[in-house]
Amino acid sequence: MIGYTCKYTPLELFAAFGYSCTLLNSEAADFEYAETLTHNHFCCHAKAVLEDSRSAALEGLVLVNCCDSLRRTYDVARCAHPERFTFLLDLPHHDDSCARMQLSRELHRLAEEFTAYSGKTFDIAQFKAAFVPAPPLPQEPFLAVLGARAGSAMLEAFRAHSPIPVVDFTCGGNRHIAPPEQFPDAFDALMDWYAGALLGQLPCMRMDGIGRREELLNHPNIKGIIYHTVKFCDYYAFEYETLRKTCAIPLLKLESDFSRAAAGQLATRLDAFVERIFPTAAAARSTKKSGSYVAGIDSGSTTTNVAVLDLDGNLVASAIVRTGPKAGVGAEKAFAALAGFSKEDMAAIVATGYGRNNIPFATGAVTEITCHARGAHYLNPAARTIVDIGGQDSKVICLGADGTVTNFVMNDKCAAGTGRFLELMARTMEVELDALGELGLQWKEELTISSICTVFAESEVVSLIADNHSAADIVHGLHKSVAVKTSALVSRVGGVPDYMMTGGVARNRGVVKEIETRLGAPLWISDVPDLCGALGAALFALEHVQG
Amino acid sequence: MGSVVDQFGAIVGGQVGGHPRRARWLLATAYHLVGAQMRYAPPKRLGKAQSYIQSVVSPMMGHALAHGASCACVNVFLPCELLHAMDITPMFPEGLACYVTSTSTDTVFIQTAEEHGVPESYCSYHKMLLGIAESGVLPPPCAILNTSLACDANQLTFRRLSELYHVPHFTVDVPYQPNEDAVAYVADQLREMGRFLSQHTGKPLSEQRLRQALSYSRETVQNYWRYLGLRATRSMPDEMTSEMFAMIALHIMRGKPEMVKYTNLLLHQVAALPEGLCGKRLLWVHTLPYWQGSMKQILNFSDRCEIVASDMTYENMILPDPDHPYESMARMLVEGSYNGGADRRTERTLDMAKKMNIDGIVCFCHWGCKQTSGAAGYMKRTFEAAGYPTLLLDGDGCDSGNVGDGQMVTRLQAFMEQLEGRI
Repeated sequence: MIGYTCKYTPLELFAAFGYSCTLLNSEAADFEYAETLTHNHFCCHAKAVLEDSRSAALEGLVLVNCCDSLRRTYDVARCAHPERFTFLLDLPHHDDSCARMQLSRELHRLAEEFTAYSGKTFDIAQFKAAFVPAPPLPQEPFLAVLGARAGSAMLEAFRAHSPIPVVDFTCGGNRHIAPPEQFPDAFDALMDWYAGALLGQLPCMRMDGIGRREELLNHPNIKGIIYHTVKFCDYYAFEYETLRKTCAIPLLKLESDFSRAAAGQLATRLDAFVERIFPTAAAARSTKKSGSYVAGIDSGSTTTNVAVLDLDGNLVASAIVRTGPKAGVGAEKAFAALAGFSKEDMAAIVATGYGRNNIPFATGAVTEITCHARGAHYLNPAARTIVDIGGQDSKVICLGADGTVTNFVMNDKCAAGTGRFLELMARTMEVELDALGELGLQWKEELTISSICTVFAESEVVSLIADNHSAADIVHGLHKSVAVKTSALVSRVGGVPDYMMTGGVARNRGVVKEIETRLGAPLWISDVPDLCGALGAALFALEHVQG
Repeated sequence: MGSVVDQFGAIVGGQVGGHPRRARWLLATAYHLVGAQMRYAPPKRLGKAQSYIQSVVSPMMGHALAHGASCACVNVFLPCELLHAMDITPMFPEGLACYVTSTSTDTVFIQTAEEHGVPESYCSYHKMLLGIAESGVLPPPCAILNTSLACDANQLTFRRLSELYHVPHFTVDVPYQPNEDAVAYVADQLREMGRFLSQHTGKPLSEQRLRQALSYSRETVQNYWRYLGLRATRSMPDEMTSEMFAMIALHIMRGKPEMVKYTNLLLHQVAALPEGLCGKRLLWVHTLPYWQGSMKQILNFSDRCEIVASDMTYENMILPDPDHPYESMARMLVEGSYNGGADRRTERTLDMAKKMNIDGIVCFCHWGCKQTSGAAGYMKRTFEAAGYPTLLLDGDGCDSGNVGDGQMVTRLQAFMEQLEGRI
């Protein structure tokens, strides 16, 4: 068995020697081995390949010089397993006739080295038989996965969450080499044809000419695109940016680190995307009960918020409690904090937030993206862009005139720019979290906290304290840092006025002012900014009860 | 109240959003003034060669900003003899990014790039260039030219710039394997690049001028090798910036008569020094954090240690050949140690360490450079097996936002203590 990662790998050539190839595409449990050999600031897919490459089942590893990371992966894998056949195919960046000759020479080199390694000879009949027709695309609407390769578990998750088929158009899923009408007989001519056929595939972003990638978007049955990028792989962020500006098909960007963790945030984004494409699917999950009220519960990482509406849609009660370690217990506490209302009074209870699937008494679950949009539209129908900064994540949601989600973006797995960031910094500075907002408004000297990493920012703050800068100036610097991250999210998602802000950080006047400065427009904030998600969930519950 | 440079940076930063042309003018003027200062009143500690090259390169950066149409945007490995033979000024990410950081205007451009979708994990030099372009501060060049080496960012940055500016774009594909077929493949592309440039700029490419540029290149490289030979037995405390300028002289500016003068000055400067070594001798791998105050304090003009050389000025052992200009330029690309496997670069560096009487090696993992960070573990293992203590230092060559300053200081000082035998 030969391991490979790239669709330009000449799999049919190995078949000609009687060997099969396996795509190394699993997410890793951890990167301990890979980071020992390389570096933590390294493409996470390449690190996962290194973890996979330890498998004793692999007799060989064939990599392509796709990128800096895979070149270095080859370097260290070769040293780690000197007994194994390890080969780096030098793929040209061009696809013209000179490049084809160059690749043909590489295929000769590979064939020679593999003959020497395996002691076997190239069997032309096996080579010809290895070409298989491409599987047909679904005749019905489907979701396309584009961008950097997606790991196998992630693809499974896509398929589990999507109500329509999912087709993998990334490098891991769209390899197809069409056989010629007639194969040349001579080996040289065969390799020359094969080099052209390999280069003739739909190009990946690493190739010089990428114009043909537009073909990926032309299929009439594509209902939505999940655009995947990998942490520390830079190629596909550029294509995503172009698509974001030009593509009319609903688009979801997901970044993964090729680890098996981070399922929570992934599920939220996928569900929200599905809710965006199929807006009626969300409310339909609830089951009707008898009762005079409905409730929405927003189970967040820091607080659990509950909103109760009467059947006319009026907000009659609400509560905010600390979530604690278990979402279900937090939800019970939130209900207990409601004066005069019990779960039994509720005709429907819709849960949202990270813990939405762990609240046993909820009659339905909708993502916080969709719920925030619904709640925000209810509170302020003019809002077109919602900035939500919560404890664990920050997100920007774009709304249509009817309150439906047209686009959204969330922060990556990093606390910078979130409520948690401010909480940590308040602790470092020994200032009460609630006092940060007012303190930051009293600044005198402009300071910049330039570190994007929370840990680095903390040491920067410690240095500023040591340099005798005032707490107000430092806090103002921190607020600016959050505002920079937030305005970048707004820009990435194409947000337009009117702006609205929700989430606990909306109570921090210092942050609000800085974001307003960067956006050049005011942020509308309701009296209950923390409740927006719970309110949206309650509105979904009401919608269901009212049929 | 910050320094004059910080105040200047704040003024420029304030103009970028609303008045990018004004920001451009301010930066271009500042770089011309730096050039004039280096020519007429250089800092006392700086050697003649070092101030001379700054007096040449700084106005060139100013020119690139003020007169984009006479410049080509290139990557640092593109053989620029072709451009010099056609009087086209090269402008490259690493140079412009370093100058922008020197004027404390990095943050606004990094933010602009990220707001336009450039990933956080992207090489900061390239991110900065894209930020300067996206903000409208960088004027459109006459052409965009790049090689596929040394890193992925070349494929992405230059393609993005060509889309942004709608100017002609040419990529030289450099094969990984060093052989004659690869040299011929690259030489053909370089010939084509010459025709491409002539066609799009209307400037003829004279073979005679190209051979002249290759002659200057040859003399520059020969001088530098002689300088390294003398430096192997001499100490010459200097600043980090000098290594960056030496790298510029041996790449982008190779083929200019001024670089012959620079390397001659360098040669005379080191020849005038007495033989003998003092302080710990460091070999630096990759770019340098020349802008970082704490690093400058430890490394610049220090009695305790000196950066003797960097692997970027030793990546090529090919002497330019004016009689075969295209093959010669192609061979320098194909056989350079920034092309090919980590073993080639490691062996070349090790060879340099042996020749230059090195005490320790610092491998600088510049943010976003997977090419170097991916090889760093391999390099450290190999260097240490050969008896050279090695420090892997994570940092950023131009973006202050990616730096854990305190940790870097601790790592570097502990490494110095290790070399001095204190731990």
